[in-house]
Amino acid sequence: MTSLPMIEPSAAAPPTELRASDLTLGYDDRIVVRSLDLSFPIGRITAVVGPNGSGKSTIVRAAARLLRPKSGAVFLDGKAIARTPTKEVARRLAVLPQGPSSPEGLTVERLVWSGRYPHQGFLGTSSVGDAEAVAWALQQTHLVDFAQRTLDTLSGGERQRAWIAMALAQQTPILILDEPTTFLDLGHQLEVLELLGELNAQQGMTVIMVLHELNQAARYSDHMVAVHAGRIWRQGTPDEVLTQELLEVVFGVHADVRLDGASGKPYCVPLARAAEPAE
Amino acid sequence: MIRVAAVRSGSMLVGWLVLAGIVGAIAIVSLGIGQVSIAPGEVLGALLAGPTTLEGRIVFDLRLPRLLLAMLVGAQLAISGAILQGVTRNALASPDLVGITAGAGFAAVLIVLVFVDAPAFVLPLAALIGGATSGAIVYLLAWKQGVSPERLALTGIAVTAIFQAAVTAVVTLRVEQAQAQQALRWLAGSLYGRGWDELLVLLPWSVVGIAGAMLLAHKVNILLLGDAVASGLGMRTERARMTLVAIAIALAASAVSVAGTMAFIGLVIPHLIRLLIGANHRLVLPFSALAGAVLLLVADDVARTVFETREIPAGLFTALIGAPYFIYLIMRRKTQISV
Repeated sequence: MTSLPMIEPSAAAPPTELRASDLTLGYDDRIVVRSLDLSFPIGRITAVVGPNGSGKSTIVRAAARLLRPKSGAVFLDGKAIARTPTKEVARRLAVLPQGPSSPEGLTVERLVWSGRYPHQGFLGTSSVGDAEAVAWALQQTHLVDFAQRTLDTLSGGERQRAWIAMALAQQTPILILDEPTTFLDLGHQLEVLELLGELNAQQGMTVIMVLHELNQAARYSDHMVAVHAGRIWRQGTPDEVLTQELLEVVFGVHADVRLDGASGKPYCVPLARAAEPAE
Repeated sequence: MIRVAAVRSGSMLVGWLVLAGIVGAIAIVSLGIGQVSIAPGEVLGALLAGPTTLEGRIVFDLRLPRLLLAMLVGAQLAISGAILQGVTRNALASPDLVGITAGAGFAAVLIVLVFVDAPAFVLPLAALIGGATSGAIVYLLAWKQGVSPERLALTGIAVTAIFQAAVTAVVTLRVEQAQAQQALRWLAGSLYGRGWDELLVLLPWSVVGIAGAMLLAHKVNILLLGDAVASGLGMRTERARMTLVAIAIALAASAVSVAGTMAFIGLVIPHLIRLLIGANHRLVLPFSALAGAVLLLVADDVARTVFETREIPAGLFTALIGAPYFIYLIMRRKTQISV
């Protein structure tokens, strides 16, 4: 057992680069994504968007090593993620999968403590650094007063914040979230997205998230990756990606794209369904 | 934060001391009751003096090993159930319902009734192999991109039925032999006639199994979050689950091999403990162990003292307590049963 260097909870973790090279992904015999190259900007918020079945979740799951690529590799600071001890990866990259199920009777504090697993030794013994990281994660997610509540007594938004707190307790420079706003009402969706914005602005965290809602993706991200039929259709700033063409070609929707004066970000107003989107 | 933790572990220590005192008192009383009643003071005296007097010999040679066996078997079954319920995220997973008990039972009956001349150490070993095999069969049959609660329960019921039919077949075919009664008592779950020999056979399994379970309890907490979250936290989920299931199988199968099929302890006790103290398996496992030990100890006290001339299997009492409680749990729940 090696003892780990203590990380100051508030200090920004060293920037870590995440990059995918020549990835081919799929399930059983079905190939979903072919020869994909992608790198995520360090210290920025990246939103991955695309229609159902486009492969956007598949890409993000592979980037978080939850899905083993059929070929190609994901590199974390230049080192292949599949050849790096998984606990070591978990100290640099946290992932919140889609719709995690909450065990009955689990308190927020216990859940957040789970985030310290990759920092603990074989027997799971905890240190002062662990307690500090948990306290910090609870504070960042405004859950200090909820620490002793069980997850089933929380609202959807609070519960999602608790899961994010667990990922924060890992104290990683990169946070990956697969549809973190699913099943939440509009207010709670914004609550989660604003929290991620704060974490990015204050901690310099690289945030990578799959989002369904295009306007929210544009509003809350610095970088957008549009995925279509297993390929990157376009990536860049929200201005460059959220276009009439994107809606037309990728989503099969006629839409107006306008600029929101307050945020300076584009937003779309769908008008009508176009013909079947091109495959 | 740190001070809070210190206060908490302080009150935890007091709680453990109180519990240990209660268990100790139950144990002293248990050692005193039976066909020859011995007052608690005399039990203590006999324990200190050793098997020199008649009371001393009754306590040492007969009651003490049986008491320790009851506690170990109860603890092992409860821990096994707690692990299985945790790693499969399924409140129905227990040694009884996932086939371990039935498989161990079949193997043990084969040894007792068919291979009569086998040396004593073969019985627990055979029960262990039988339990592990049937547990593995159920687990593999239930596997379809993970083990779902329904599939595990249904395949468990099916495999259990097959082994029970095999047991009935063996017992029926050998019914003329004197061992048949021994086999029947064994199947109902009993510590009748068990002593130091059986305790020594069980002890290595208890020590390794219980220690392993306690050391890995924190991994159950992580697995409870689901495989995707656990993998994201840097756990090798399949390996962790396999290790924990192997420990659960070893604990249950070795317990069944000396005491027979004790009903419901592995199902009800972990469930009850989770309701009382929550989902942290670092606490659920030791508390389940304690509660399982006490339940079987009391059930065995009743079993050997309720009728003066005949002893009845303790497994009947654990079933009598466990089954109604289990029904109550099902009735009380409005939602789907889950961990």
